[in-house]
Amino acid sequence: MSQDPTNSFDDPTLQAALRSALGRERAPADLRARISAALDEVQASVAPHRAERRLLLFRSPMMGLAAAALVVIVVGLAIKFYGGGSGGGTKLVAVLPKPIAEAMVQVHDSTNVNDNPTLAANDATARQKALSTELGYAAIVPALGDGWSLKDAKTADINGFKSAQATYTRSDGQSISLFSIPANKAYSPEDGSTYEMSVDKHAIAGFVRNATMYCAVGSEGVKMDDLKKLTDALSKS
Amino acid sequence: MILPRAEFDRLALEHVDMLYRVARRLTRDAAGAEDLVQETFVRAFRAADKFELQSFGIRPWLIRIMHNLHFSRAERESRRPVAVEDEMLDAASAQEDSAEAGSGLADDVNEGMEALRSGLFQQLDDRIAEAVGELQPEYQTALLLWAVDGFSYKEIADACNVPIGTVMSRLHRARQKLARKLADYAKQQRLIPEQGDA
Repeated sequence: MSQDPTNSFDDPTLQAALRSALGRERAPADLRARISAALDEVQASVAPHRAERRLLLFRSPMMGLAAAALVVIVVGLAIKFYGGGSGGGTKLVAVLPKPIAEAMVQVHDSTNVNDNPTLAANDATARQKALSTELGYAAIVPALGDGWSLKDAKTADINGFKSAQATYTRSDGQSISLFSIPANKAYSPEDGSTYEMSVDKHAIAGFVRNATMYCAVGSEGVKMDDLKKLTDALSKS
Repeated sequence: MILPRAEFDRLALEHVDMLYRVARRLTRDAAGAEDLVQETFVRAFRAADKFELQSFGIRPWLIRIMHNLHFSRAERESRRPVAVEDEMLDAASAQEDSAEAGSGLADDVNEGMEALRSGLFQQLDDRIAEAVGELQPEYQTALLLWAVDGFSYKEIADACNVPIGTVMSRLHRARQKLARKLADYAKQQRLIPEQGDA
C-alpha cells in the first residue's frame, strides 16, 4: 500500500482477508485469447508485437500452457475467418457482446421460414419502412442477391430489446437472418466498425452505420467469407 | 510523457486480472465482465496515442475507461443501475443503519472485525467474497482496488473520478457494512455467541 499520508485507512487484517478471498480471481484464459485476437485486429496497420504481447499475457507457466492451446485455436480461426476477407487498410473491429451474439443465433435457429413465399421487392420496401417507423431507427430489408430469397421481415426480441429481423433462404437449404439493432445496445461502437465472430458454428458478420448495428447470422453451412461479402456490399450500399 | 507503443502494450496487458476482478464487481456476471474487459482494452489501445504516463501510471486510466464504458452503457439501458451519487449512497446507507440501529450497529461492526482478527474466517474465503458481493458496486470497487491491488486513495480517486474524501468515505462505509455482514454470519453459524447466550 502507498505511504501517502492521506492513506490512513490502515487495516491489515481486513486487507489480508480480502486479498485471500478475492485476490486469486484471474481472468479466464479464453478472455486473454479474445483480447489478444481483438488487439491484433485493432493494430492491423501497425507493426505488431504479437509474440511479445502473448508472452506478457501468459507469463505464468501454468497459464501459458493452458492458454497456448486456446491461442492456437483463436489464431487459427482468425486466419480462417479473416484471411480471405477484404484486404488492406485499418479496420475498426468492434466487440459484439456475447449475450447479443448468442441471442441472435438463438432467434435465427428458432425462425422457420421454409414454407413462406418469397417476398416481392415492393413488399420488402414496405416492410423496411414499417419496421423503421415502429422501431425508431433505420431497419434494413435489402435484396441480397447471390441466390438468397427474402422470406420474412419482422421485429424480434434480442436479449430483451426489440430489433428487426429479415430472413433469407437459399436453394441449398441454408438461411441467413439480418438483424438491425441500435448500436447503443453494445458499447456504442463507432460508425464504420465491423464485426466478425462465430457462435455455436454460426458465422456472424456485420457493420455499424449511423449508430445502428447490422448483423447477419448464417445457418451452420454458411461460410464466413460469404457472409462477409454480403455485409461488406451492404455497408457500401 | 507519451509512451512508445510497445511499452504501452506491456504496461496495459499486465493488468488483465485486475480489470477482470473489477469488471466482475461492476457487471455481477462472468460473461458481461469478459465483454467489458475486452472492450476496455480495445478502447485503450485505440486511445494509446493520447495516453500520457503520469504519476499514477496506467492502472487508474484503464479503470476509468472501464468505469465510463460500464456506467454510460448502464445509463443508456435505464433498466440497469447507474453510477450512484455519493449523497445517495450515504443516504441509502444511513437509512439501512437507522433501520437496524436497535440491533447494536457499533457492536456488530466490532464483532465482525474481531471475528476476522481472531481467524474465524480463515477458511471461509467464499463467505467473505459473498459478503463483498452484496455491497454496492462503488463500495466493492473501492475495497478491491485498495486491498487487492494496493491502490492509494489518490489512485482510487483518479480511477473512479471522485474526490479523495469520497474514497475515504466509501472505504469506511464498506468496511462497516462488511464487518456487520460477517458478524451476522458468524452469529448464525454460532462461530461467536449471540448476545444473551450463556
